[in-house]
Amino acid sequence: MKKGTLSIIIGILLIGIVSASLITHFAIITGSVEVKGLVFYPDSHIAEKYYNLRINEVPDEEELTLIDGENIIFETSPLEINEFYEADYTVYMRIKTNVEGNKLWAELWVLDGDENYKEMICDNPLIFDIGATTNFWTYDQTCHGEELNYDEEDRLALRIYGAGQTSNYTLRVGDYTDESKISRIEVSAT
Amino acid sequence: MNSKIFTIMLGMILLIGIVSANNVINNTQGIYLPLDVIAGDVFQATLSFEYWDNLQNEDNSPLIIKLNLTSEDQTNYPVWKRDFELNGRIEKSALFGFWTKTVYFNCSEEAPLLINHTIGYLTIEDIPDGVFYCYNEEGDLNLNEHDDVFLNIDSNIALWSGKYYLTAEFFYLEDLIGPEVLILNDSYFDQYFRDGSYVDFEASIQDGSGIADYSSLIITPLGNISFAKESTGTPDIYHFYQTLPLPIPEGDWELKVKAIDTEGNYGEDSTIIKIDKTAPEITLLQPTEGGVYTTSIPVEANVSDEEAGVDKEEVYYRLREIVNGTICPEIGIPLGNYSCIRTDWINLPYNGISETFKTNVSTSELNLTSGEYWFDIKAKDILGNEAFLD
Repeated sequence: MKKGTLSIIIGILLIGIVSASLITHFAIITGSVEVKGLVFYPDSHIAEKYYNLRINEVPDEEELTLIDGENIIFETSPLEINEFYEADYTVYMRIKTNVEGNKLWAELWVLDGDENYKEMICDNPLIFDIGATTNFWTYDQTCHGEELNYDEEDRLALRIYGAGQTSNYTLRVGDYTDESKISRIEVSAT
Repeated sequence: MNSKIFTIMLGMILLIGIVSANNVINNTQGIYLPLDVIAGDVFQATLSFEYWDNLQNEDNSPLIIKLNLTSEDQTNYPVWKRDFELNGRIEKSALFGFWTKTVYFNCSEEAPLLINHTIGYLTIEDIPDGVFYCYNEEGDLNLNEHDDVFLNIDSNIALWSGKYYLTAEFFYLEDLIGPEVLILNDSYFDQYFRDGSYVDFEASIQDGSGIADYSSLIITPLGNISFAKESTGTPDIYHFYQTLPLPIPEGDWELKVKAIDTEGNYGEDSTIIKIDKTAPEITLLQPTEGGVYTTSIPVEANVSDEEAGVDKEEVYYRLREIVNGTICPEIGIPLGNYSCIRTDWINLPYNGISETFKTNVSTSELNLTSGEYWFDIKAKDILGNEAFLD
């Protein structure tokens, strides 16, 4: 991580009292930090019903395959939040297929506490044009999600599925030497 | 919530701040924060500082750290409660690192918050969102020069992505409450006293900061009377004692126990000490003046004392012959060239039925011959105030 500069203010504050009082002892000091949106990482391990979708944690490298007509779902554990701000969701997938030009679809969902589909985060699915057949390539698409209300048991899920006839897809999840190429979902404020 | 820990190293900022002669610091160093973190991460902030005057925090100055987290867009994306969770520790070291100590503290954002410490307590009724108070309830953080403060900041995964500011303010808890003083066994002062009486009692004196001085005195119009004092060996219990001097005026006077703690706060307790210098009142019932008696003389007196009370063992009578119009003098005083009969002071017993002091005097037993006699009676109260009736 890079180093950053800090700003400082000086001030005095006195708090009201009961049997004692807070007396200013020192000056005020301030620092700042940039908070980036959280990052979800698909994982090859089964969580409960679906594959695991880790939060801010890169899983071990593994490969998952699916064929047209199938879908793979990755889900988080219960998020334990009440709402989430309006944000852009960028889905990165490190993937290859057997037929160049295949399309892979991805949807972001909110699942309820019973792991059933509750609400789609973005209005439309993300469509990835997969060109790579020999080596893995990282593709990304971004969609916009409005501010969402969550119940504490709700989860976030990524559903991917092929839209072809006889294609198969190999998705590589997990650690990679180049962080920017890891399959993941990045969240950022709009 | 998944989280991971980032260890931070960052640049350094110097700050000079002066508040008062004591507890003055300068050269604050910090706050070390990562340039960026990811929502949901646990990240760390560190800071340290130096003192102007000495190397140590003033004793009994519990340290409280107030932290305030705000976003750069507090209008649309303000920091709310539970957006962050904070706790921390102080790493202390001395003797070139041979001595180290870790003091943990907790941070709370929930109101009302009762900060409870041995030197006093403070309730913070309203804590705005994003504000945390951090302290160690078991003792003060005792932050000294070159100590390092580490804050563990756990961020909510739903935290809006943007810039956040962390502000740290340091306070120390100041004791504003005087010692708790309590005169023990207050019923001891239901009795009366007088000059020469030995008065001693105990008082409890307690204070979270420590007692700097304590004393006791009686306040009278003729001046104050101080008590001698000593510790009893029992924590917080002190013994006061004094033989009351002459003069001490009669009346009800305030007896006060005072104490000052090390922070200059004052506490006291008081009671009333009653001084009685009035002798009992004697009313002679028998014998009657001019009465003629032969073998037996009835003696009866009513003795009362409204304050201290009659000492029932100290009521006496005597008979002294009247010769040529002269009352037989006190025993020990020369008679001159005549003789006369006089008795010693004879105890007059108390009769519980009549509630008077009475007896029948046998003239033969006292060897009284015919003649005129002068009857004296005296009585004391339990303090020794003495009355004569003659």
